[in-house]
Amino acid sequence: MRVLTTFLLTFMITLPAAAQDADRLSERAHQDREIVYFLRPPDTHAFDLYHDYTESRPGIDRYLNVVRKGSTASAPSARVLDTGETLQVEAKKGEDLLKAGLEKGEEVTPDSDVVVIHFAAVPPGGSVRLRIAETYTDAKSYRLEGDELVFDRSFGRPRNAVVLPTGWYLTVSSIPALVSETPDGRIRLDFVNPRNDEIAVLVKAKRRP
Amino acid sequence: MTTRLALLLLSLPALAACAPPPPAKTAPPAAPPPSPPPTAERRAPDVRREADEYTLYELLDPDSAQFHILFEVTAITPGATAYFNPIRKGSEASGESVRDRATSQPLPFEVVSGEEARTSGLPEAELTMNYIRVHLPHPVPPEGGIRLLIEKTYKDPKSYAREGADRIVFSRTLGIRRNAIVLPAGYELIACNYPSQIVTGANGRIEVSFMHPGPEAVPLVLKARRLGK
Repeated sequence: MRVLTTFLLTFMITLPAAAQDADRLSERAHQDREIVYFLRPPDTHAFDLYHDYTESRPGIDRYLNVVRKGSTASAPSARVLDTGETLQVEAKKGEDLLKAGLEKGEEVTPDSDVVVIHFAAVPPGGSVRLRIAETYTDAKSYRLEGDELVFDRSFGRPRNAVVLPTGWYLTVSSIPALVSETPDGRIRLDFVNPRNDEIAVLVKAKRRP
Repeated sequence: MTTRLALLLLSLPALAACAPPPPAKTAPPAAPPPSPPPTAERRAPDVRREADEYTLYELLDPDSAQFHILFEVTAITPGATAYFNPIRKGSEASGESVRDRATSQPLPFEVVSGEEARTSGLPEAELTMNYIRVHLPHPVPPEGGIRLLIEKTYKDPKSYAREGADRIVFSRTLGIRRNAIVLPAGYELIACNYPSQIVTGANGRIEVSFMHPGPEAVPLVLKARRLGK
């Protein structure tokens, strides 16, 4: 009995650790997800974003974009960057996906909001580069504090960018970023995180006088 | 004292260039070294002479092309009684001072040629460079260090200049691993080519700060724009 208990305990402890190891040991430099955030005026708490991702698993014909807790997503759209083809998207609840058994490989709970993007199944040896665009509203992540805009969000991808709203200048970035000016005069921050972990990005800005 | 001050003033124009690269040196404690071989034959010193370097560049009035430098460094060669800070060519220097960060007391220093540096404790000194030779308050203790703050103001239009009516550019290769650049008051950052943290000081000035772990110096380029009133 003791042996069995020990075995079970070992098994339970080992499994998550192995899964963690897989995440920690994935090749960061070859990860291909990246997100660009375009902040709207801060009193809206809204930001547009696009998310690029390459699907290379043969037979996969949909992408499930699970909306982060605390955020609401609207106006989803998607296209194939390889061809320019516009894709069909639909908003689903996690419960529906769980019932249909379509949540494979994704962290979906019954109350999850999920954007499902449909595309032609990936052929063996092939891949598809997707761009998923949507507008998020999240009063906790993006807000106005006094006269200062605050964007406070963790990023898990290797590459992320944040573009300030028109007319705002950068005052704080907690995480090192490249800074540039877009052709229309907005300030863009590019974050590169070479490690397999998240960065807690805190960006602040003020309105130009 | 008067003679020393006069010598210092005379040597100020030679204090061109920035603190950091190449790295500063502390003199070994031993007696004067034997005549060094030609540069090509000399080898890099086996011991590291300094640690914990950090440089802060405070950009002054853009029309002046000047920036104030605060260079923090720890002399770590056991027994050393002097520290040598190389002076980069191309900048016009003024306002030098050196302090012992443990006591905040000013320390005596003078500018010496590479040749003099070689014969006074830094055998690997470059003959084409000048050095600030800092007299340490006591020999560097074993496994310890003497923490220094070296301040100076450089004028270098190639590194710091206006670009158009309302923009400035700070472009400088930085070999030190930890750096910060403070923009002039009333300027916003619009470009930075090296991943940097951005903070705003209590005085409202924006500071760009970065660390770099790689072996090469960073060819940093910052651009800023004057905010409207």
